Amino acid sequence: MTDTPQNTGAATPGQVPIKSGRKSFWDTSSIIWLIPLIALAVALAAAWRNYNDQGPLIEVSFENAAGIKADETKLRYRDITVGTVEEISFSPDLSEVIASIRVEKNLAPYINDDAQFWIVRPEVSARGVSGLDTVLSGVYIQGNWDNEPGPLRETFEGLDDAPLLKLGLTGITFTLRSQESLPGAGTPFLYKGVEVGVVGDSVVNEDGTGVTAEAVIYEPYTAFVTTSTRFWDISGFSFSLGAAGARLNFTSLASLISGGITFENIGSGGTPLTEGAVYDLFPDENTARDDFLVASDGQAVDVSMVFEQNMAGLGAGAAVELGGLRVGEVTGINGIVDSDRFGDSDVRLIATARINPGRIGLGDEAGEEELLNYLEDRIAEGMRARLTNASIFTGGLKVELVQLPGVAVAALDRAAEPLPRIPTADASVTDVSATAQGVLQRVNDLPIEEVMQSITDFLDNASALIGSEELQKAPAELTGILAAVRGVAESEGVQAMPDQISALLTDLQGTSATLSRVITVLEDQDAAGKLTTAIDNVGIATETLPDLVADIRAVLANAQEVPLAELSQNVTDLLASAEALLTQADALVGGADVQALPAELRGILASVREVTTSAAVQALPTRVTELLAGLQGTSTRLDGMIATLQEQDTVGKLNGAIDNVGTATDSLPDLMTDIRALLAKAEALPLEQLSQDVSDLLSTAEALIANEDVQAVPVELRRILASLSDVTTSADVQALPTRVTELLTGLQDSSATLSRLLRDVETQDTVGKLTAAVNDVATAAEGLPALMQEARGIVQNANEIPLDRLSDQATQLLASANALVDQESTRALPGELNEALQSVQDVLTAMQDGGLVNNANATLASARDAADAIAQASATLPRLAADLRAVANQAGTTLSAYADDSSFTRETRGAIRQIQSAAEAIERLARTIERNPNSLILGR
Amino acid sequence: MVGMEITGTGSGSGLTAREAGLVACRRCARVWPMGTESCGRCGSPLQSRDTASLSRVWALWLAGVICYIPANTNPMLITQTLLSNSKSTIVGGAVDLIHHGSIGVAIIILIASVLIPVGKFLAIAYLAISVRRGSGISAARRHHLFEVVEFIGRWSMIDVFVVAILSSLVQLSVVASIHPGSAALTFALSVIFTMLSAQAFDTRLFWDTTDQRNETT
Repeated sequence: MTDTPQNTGAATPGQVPIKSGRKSFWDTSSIIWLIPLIALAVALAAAWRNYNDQGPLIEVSFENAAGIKADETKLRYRDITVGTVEEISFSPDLSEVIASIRVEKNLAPYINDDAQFWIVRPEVSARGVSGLDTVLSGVYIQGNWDNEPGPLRETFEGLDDAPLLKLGLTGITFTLRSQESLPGAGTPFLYKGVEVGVVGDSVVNEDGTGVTAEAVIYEPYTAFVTTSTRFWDISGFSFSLGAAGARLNFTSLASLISGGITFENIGSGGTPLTEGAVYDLFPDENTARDDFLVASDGQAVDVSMVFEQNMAGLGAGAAVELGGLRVGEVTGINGIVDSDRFGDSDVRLIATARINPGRIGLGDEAGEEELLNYLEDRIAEGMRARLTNASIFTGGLKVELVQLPGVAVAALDRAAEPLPRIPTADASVTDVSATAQGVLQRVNDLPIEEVMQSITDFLDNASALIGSEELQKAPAELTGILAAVRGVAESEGVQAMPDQISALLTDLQGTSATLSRVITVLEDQDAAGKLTTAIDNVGIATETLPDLVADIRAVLANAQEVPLAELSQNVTDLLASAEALLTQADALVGGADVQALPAELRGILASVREVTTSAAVQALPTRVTELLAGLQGTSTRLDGMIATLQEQDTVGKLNGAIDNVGTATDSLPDLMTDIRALLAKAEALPLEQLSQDVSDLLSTAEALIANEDVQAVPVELRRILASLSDVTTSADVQALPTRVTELLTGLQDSSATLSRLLRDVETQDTVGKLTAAVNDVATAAEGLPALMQEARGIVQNANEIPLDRLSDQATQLLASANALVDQESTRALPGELNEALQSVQDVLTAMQDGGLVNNANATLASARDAADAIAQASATLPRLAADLRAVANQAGTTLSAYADDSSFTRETRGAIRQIQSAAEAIERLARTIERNPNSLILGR
Repeated sequence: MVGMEITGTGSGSGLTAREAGLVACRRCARVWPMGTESCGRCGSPLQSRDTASLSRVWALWLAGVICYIPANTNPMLITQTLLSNSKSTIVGGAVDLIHHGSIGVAIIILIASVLIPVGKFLAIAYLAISVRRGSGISAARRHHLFEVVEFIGRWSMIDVFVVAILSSLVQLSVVASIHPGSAALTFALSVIFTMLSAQAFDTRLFWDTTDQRNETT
């Protein structure tokens, strides 16, 4: 079979070896056949699903199917499309249209007997627009059913209109009944303005006596409707001119246009609204209330009354009142002819009334029998029915059951036909119209024309008067007069007058006050008497004047005798010497050394400033402040002491002492006289000589100053200052403020001690002692006059002392001094001083050079460094210990990890195993690559 | 000898490669001696007659027919306007067009969507049967018919294209919109299956006479 074509062609042409043999269907069929199978399966599945998903078909019949189209019109439930109309057909008798609707499968179980269908169309009415969406989308069928699944029903009768109870609303359906007419379908029930229900279409009763309509009150408002509830129409407005006057009534604009029904529970109690109950609709609120009053509680009883009077104004619905309380109403009026009973054939009017025994107060259970019994009793006592005015204006009448005295005996006619009859009395009707007519007649009779004529005449005359020229001018003149008066009043003089008067009065007041005061003073001080005495004293004083003048003249004469010329010469010499001295001093000062002094001083001052700015000095004020505080404390103590002193009348005692002193001074004139004598002696002293000596002394001093040694003093001083500066800048001096501070602390302590001391003093009644001392002083002062006397004696003695000799001695002393100064040793003194100063300087320099202070400072610094270092070292010690502990812990855990079965060991073993396997894998890989190098490229 | 063989077995309808003991490569058209497994030039497998060809043809043909049924029953086009919502099938749409007077367009649609697909089904079925049962029509004519089928088959897609273009152009939100119906998908599938079916046909089978086929089978 695998021969070359040439061979086969040559050997057996035409017998090409072709694979042959009938193969079975499964051999020939290939996988390609799956495609049509899948397509078929999908198609069948889709078809089956389509069929299976199809919901059931229901048929709904409508009388009018306007707008419904097959395949387009939808069935909606809660506004969601749940089905589509598939076909429209007619019922066999062609009376209805049947819409076949395919509904959704999952909703089909709910479409059972309770399902309702109606067609929603756009509707525009006075109550609003509904179904507007259907304008565009076309009408649709609305379905409504409850949520109870049940067996599917396939044929339904469609509703003509939407049911009263719309989707999602629950409520109670009842029947509304009226004799006249009912508002149109859709009229709402409005309870306090809220729509709580709706009325359906009205239907005329079968017997044609009235209309009824289905109505619905929604939940939860059904609780407001009971058997005590009355409904009345509030559509439009009502205008009534009845017994109670005129009334115009409408509830709201909406109800005015679209109508409405409202209701109210007029009484309490009553059983709740039940399904299918029947209620009357009243035309207005009043009738509704009246109906309730009459017919509600219990059984109403019908009675009749025959009135012989004119009953115009009495109508059905008129009230029947008992003692002002409405107990019933007139239900009808009829004529009656009963010649048997009344004895003639006149037409009488019979009114039938309905009376509610409950309203009279006979109890809820009271029925006809009780009421009639009651009425019988009362009628026997004289109660009658009579007509009376219900309203003055409208002429309406009502029936009043009233107790009338002295009426003819009558009784309730129970057997009367058709109803029990109540006897009547004459009407008590006020003829309002006749009265009104009389009033009008009287008004008519009034002489109105004549009155009008008189008024017209009067007005004419008044007009003429007012129109006259004189009267016209009067206002202008009045205006002029008023203007003039105003001008006067507004002039400046008149304006200023009050001020001037005021000032005048003030002045007068001041003057009188002063006068009063002066007189008082004069009176008090008896000035006149004193003046006389003073003048007398002056006279006496003038008598002593001549003596005084004489004394002055004597003094002047003495003064003239002083040898002024000599004295002035001496003074001149003295001045010359002083001048020379000054010149020397000037030269000294002008020397370079002295010039350099300020610089040195400045250096010292700088050092001092450094010292001053040092922290210790800065701290000084604080110390000083504290010291001052202490001192203040002390002063406070002192104050206290002084206060004590004051208390003990020390001042008074002092005063006494001073008084004594005063007494002593009284003897002073004598002392003065003595002193004057002393002076006179002094005057006689040999002043000339003394001044000469002084002059000599000055000359010597001048020579001394001119000496070289003295000249060298400034240099030395300068050096000392330099040394001092060095000293000042030295550390010791720097430390001085600290010392000072300490000193101040000490001082503070001292002041504290002082304060304490003072306190002690206080406590020990020192003040008392002081007072005693003062007392002693006072006593002593009392002895002062005597003392003064002695002093005077002393002065007199002094006066007798040979002053001349004293001055001689003084002169000699000066001379000695001069000699002393003049001698060699004195002259050498400056040099020695110099040397001493030099030594001081040397010491200071040595101190500076020796670096004692520096050394001490350095030593202290080193010590401090050492201390710091130790401190640091000690600070690191705890950390070191902590580190050591941590290391120890780690070492502990590490060591414990090496224990058998510990996680570390396990992991290590695992790691080693993995490494082993990795090595094996690498080995394998290497072997593979070795065997099959191209696997690297092919990836195998 | 080869020439003699050729003249000997040609008998009217010419000599086939198979009769000449040759097999042609269907990819690069190189002729190899019978029995060669794969083409030495392009490597594609060589086969003198594709014996599974007919079964593939039938399978794809059947799938196409199955798809063609829903393509005609389901709506092809869903048109939504503000007021209405309409679905139209292929034939229904064409009938509507005729009612509206657009007979030309309706004819085009009918030809493209009904006549051509149905014709294709029939032609392929006939050709496949003729290979088995033989036919009165010569092999050359049948081959010609096959070429026509293959050429014209793609024009059936015109309907799908129209739907695609319409539904992408007419999307005016609420006012009007056109969506493709489920038939568009099934119709496209039907056309694709028939085209694959035609391609699966091994046209060399036409040339084998009934006698030879009977011999070989």
